[in-house]
Amino acid sequence: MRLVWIIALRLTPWIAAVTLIWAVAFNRYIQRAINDEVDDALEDYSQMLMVRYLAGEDMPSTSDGTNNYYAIREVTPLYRETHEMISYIDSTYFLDYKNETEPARVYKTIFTDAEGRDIEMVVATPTFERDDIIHTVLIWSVALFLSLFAVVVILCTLTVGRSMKPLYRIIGWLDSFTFGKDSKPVPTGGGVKEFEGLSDHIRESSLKAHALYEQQKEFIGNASHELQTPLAVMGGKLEMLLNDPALTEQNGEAIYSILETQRDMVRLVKTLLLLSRIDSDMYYEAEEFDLGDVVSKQAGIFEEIFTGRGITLDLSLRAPCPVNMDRSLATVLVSNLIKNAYVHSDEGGTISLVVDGGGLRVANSGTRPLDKEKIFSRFATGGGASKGSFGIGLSMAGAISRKYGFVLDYSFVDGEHVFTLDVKGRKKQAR
Amino acid sequence: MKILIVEDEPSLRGLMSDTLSREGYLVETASDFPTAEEKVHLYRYDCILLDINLPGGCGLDILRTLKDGDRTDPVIIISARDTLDDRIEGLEKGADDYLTKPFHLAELSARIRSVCRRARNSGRKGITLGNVTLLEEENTVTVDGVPLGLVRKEFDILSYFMQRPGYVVDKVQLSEAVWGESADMADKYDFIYGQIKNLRRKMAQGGATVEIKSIYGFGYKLVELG
Repeated sequence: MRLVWIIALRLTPWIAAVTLIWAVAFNRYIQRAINDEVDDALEDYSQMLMVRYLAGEDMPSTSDGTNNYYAIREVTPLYRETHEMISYIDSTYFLDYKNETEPARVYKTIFTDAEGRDIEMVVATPTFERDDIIHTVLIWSVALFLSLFAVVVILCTLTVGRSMKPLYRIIGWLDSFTFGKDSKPVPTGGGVKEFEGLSDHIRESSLKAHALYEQQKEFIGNASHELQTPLAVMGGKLEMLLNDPALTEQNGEAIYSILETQRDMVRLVKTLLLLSRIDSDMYYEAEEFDLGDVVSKQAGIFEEIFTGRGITLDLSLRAPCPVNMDRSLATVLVSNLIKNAYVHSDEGGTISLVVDGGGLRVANSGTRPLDKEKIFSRFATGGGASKGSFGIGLSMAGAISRKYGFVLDYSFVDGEHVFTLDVKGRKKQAR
Repeated sequence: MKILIVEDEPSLRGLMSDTLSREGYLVETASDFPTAEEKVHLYRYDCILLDINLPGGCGLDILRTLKDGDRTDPVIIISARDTLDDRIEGLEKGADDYLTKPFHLAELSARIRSVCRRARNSGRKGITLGNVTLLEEENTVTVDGVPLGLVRKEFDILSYFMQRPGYVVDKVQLSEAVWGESADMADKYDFIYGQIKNLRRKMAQGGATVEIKSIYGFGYKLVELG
């Protein structure tokens, strides 16, 4: 999941909790304030009536159109002793003009008048207005809570998203980074301290990585060079032994077998040199030609050799395949694919080569699928390798493909090992 | 024929020296730049084998000295560097041939022979051994003046042997030379056996005094009969 959504999801419960607590507290407080106001009004009203009564003035009529109600009655001293002097209750009373019973807030007081009589005064006011107000406040509280919550989350998400832009630029750069190719400079951190730090570190690391990579190539190149001379000496001495007229059959076979090993080493050293040079443009000149030409030439060379094992080459040139690359590398690429098919073919099998505008397809019959992960890495022979094969041929083909942006793929289909070389690099674009 | 070997690595120097001495050349050696420079200054040679990486200097400088002095001693550069640019540079600086390590001794011998032939330019074209004459440019082989009808591969095989007479050539070496480097994949060499069998038959039928002899099943050698 993307970082923005993670942040949004993590913020959400907290924001929800805080705004909820606020909303609930706010609501409670409002309710209480409203209730207190109503009670205060009742108290004032009651006091006013009490004063008028004690002063002997006229009392307002109970059905004067206002919603307020009062009642005055005399009570016994016992009643006075057993009841609260002042009390508030929620009750109901009967509204004359409406002919209904409504909920009301009631305020009762018991007092003694000038003649020593105990009087109970009851004052009441309907509460549906109070309830209405409270209800409205509640609804608006909820609305405010929800909208505040939504706005905060959206703002957080947008802000995080925008603040992350330099990071995404850097990630984009990392995605397109390939070894050995010139790369664009690392994007800066957009002024954000942490991203600047990240950008600087990545720049340093990539420079170091490039340097190491170049060093490694140089080392392989130098080591391979150094090996050439001792190999020449070894081969030369063995050849001299083979040329000795006093050579016996036994010696001859033994010496020849050592010579074969020396030849394998020479081949390996040459391949290593080639691999260490492939990424450099210094050694290779590109030209435009039809890959089909290279394929048919190689097919011609191999045909004669393959008949020894009864293997037939089936070449089909469906359309010209224009490429722009170094011709010798094209030859190495094609011949390695054909050689590989040969190595994994059974006696009497067929290797099919198909060339069309998109590239080359090499197929040969097989029993078990090869391990796709392993076959392109160096020195993995995967069984069935012939003597002198170090399993480096496919990784060479892979390195050449990468140099020119081709896509080399393997699949095991209908009992056949199929290698496809896509010179248009289509698969890469679909990424 | 006098040959100068300029090579700093002692084993290789000794190897080349032994092989060429055995072939009958008079061999002198130099193991560093100053010695090589001195020898070249003092003597003329029929062929100079020049290693580029020398202690004390670069072999190409010796080449330059030779060319500046209008010397015609044929030079074969011997080097571990095998890129096209290196070869081109060497040849453009005036070398007559460029041989990369590691190489077959037979190859060394063949190249020296070829370079000397060109230098001598004695008007006799082609290679002659016994009563067999092979003309490279015309792709023809004659035995006592009578042309031998050879197919392409047979001609290539015979040509290869004629440039290395008396040297053992094993089947892998032959297949790589005539069929190309890709031939290293073959594990059955029937395709070679067939060609050689036909070639031998044609040469015998033509009455050739040279023969391609089998060596213990791993190689062949061109020898003169009698």
